[in-house]
Amino acid sequence: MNEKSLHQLVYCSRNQIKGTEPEVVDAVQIILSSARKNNACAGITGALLFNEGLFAQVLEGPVDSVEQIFEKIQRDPRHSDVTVLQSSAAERREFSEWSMAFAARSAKTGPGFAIPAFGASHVNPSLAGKQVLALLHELVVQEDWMVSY
Amino acid sequence: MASALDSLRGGSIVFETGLRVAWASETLASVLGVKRDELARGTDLISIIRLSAAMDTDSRVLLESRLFEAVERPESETAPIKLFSVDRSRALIAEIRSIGEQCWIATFEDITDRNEAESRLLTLASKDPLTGLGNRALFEKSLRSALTGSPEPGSTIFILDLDRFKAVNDTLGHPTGDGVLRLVAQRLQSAVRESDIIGRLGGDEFAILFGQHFRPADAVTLAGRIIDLLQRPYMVGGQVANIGASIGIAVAPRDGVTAERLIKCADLALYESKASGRSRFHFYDPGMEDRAPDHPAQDRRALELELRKALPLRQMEVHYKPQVDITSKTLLRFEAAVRWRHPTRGLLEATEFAAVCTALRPAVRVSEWALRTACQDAARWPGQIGVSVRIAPYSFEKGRLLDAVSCALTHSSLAANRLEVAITEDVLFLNESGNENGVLEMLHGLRALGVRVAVDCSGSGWTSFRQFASFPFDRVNIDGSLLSGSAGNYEDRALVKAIAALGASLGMPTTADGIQTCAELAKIRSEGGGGIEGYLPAKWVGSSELPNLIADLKGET
Ligand SMILES: Cc1cc2nc3c(=O)[nH]c(=O)nc-3n(C[C@H](O)[C@H](O)[C@H](O)COP(=O)(O)O)c2cc1C
Repeated sequence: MNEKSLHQLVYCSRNQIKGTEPEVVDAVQIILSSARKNNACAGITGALLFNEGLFAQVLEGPVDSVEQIFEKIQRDPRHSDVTVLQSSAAERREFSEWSMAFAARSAKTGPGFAIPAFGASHVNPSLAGKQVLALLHELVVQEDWMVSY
Repeated sequence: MASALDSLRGGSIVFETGLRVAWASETLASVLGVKRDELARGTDLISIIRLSAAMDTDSRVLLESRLFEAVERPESETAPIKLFSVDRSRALIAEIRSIGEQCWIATFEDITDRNEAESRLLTLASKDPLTGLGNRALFEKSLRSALTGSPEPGSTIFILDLDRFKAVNDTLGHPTGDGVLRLVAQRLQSAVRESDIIGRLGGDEFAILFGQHFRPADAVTLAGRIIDLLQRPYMVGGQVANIGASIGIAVAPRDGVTAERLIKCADLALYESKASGRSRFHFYDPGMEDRAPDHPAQDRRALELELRKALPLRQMEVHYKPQVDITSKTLLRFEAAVRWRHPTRGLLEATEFAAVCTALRPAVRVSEWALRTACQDAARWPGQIGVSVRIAPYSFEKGRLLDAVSCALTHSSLAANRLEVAITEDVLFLNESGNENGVLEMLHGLRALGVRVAVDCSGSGWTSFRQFASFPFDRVNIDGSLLSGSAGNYEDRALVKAIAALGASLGMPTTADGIQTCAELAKIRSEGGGGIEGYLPAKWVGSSELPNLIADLKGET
């Protein structure tokens, strides 16, 4: 793959999956498994964070593939209010190990964390993008968190 | 040369008694193949035509005779005429009309490419080549055939228009705009059934015809879903674009049984959606006809035509409102706004006519004219009194705003730091992705010219005002609408505080239009509004009243 055209997109959105907690968890697992299947074929890596009714996601890969997957995700009624925090060329992958790493709040580890940029009304988008990235990075490597590959 | 010609498809010229030029559009010179200064006010039109390289001898003779005819017999209707270049490789259509007492307009349109495009379209069996959807003609044909024979009860149409699309085109470029249109078509297709027919009526206007078994309840659900779907971000070539969509709905046979009628009803309903705040849908109801003297498409077109004549007929004016600092009582600057003294509708504010004309070249000319006039007026004011001109950058074509500003400064000899260019916050929407793009470049370009750059904010969403951090504005102004009413509602007050705090944290002076008294100012400051400033209440006045007003204000302070 030509890593020269590597693109990185960070967005957050609002969960629209209704139901009890286990139902929602199941539904998110379904999203994850189709994401992993599709992303692996398309050369996409990234991470998905789910917390307090919000998603945040990093997608990285060739710009055309990111564009195609992003467009597909846009049409998904399981979330809404998509806000793009960052869309830029990248030098290297942050999540090269994962076709879609996943982080969510687990009951065992106590209170949830806030996704930057949501709730706050005045955030620099690229800063918020970096914060989400950093947060995802941290969560994905922390053992405590319910992180699955 | 070819590409320069391609972008110049037409122009117009207004002339008076004796065939003297009153005004000529900037593009006309290239269309006619003459120099710009040969189109100066007062020039003899016939001498220009004799110079024109764009016409062969026959065409020139024909045009001259039509011009004389128009002037001598103002009543006579003249049909458009076709003119050819010397080598007959290019064709122009010319039309002459009377637009008032001893005043005519001649419009020229280069149709060379249109001829080619039309034949290409025909061979493509009425498909829009960009999106692959049916074009207007094909959509109307499908609608007609659905309505004739056995009119399906409940045949429903949506007419749908994108919001902010022109801005995307202007700032991110046409290729990106085209990509967005393609995605819009795909999203629409993904939302409807195979049997439903989608058409692109033109520009950023789409239509959907729903076949059998489609109930009003379905229409409600689907309209909501489409609006949601289309307002989600688009990614094209690594850039992110945000637009919205408004919808008008008409149902046969209730609203009409012919294609023309149904489309007109849906158009009216669409207009209602746009007028009531966009990102909405409305069903046609007969009340819209009465409520909307200004609304129907024909009326909108009439207004557009009138707008084309407004400048040459000198119906445009710039009005001013003083901004006097509440605390220091100093006159800081005048805010400038363009007004249209319409012969029958009275004095119109920019919002009243810009809404229907944003996609038009005349809107660009009016903006440029207003900017120039404001600078000329300001250059005559004493001392350091500044002028603030509110501008929607997408009312200027790409790259043209900077030219217009520097031109206005040069012609008026106004010191650059006395001009403040105020943009509206929705412009910052266009910078959503944090990418380098036109908007930031333009703001930095303005800064480089030495003018002040302010942003006007009415709180249309946090998604936009978090973008303030991306450019060091000289002033963040909070729109009066957020402070109107005695207390303003809770959310608006919170927003005002948030903006003021944000401004302070970024070191940008913040002002608010609606703060009228020192007490109110103190209250907002104590509630966390930080370094916010307000202005004494003031009225808008015409430029003739300014000398007295300035003298009064100076006297008071
Ligand atoms: C928050 C969120 C994130 C998603 N992320 C991805 C993703 O990274 N890759 C992907 O292929 N689908 C993702 N999806 C699912 C897509 O919207 C879509 O349902 C899926 O690509 C369809 O896959 P299929 O055609 O294999 O069924 C996501 C959906 C949501 C709601």
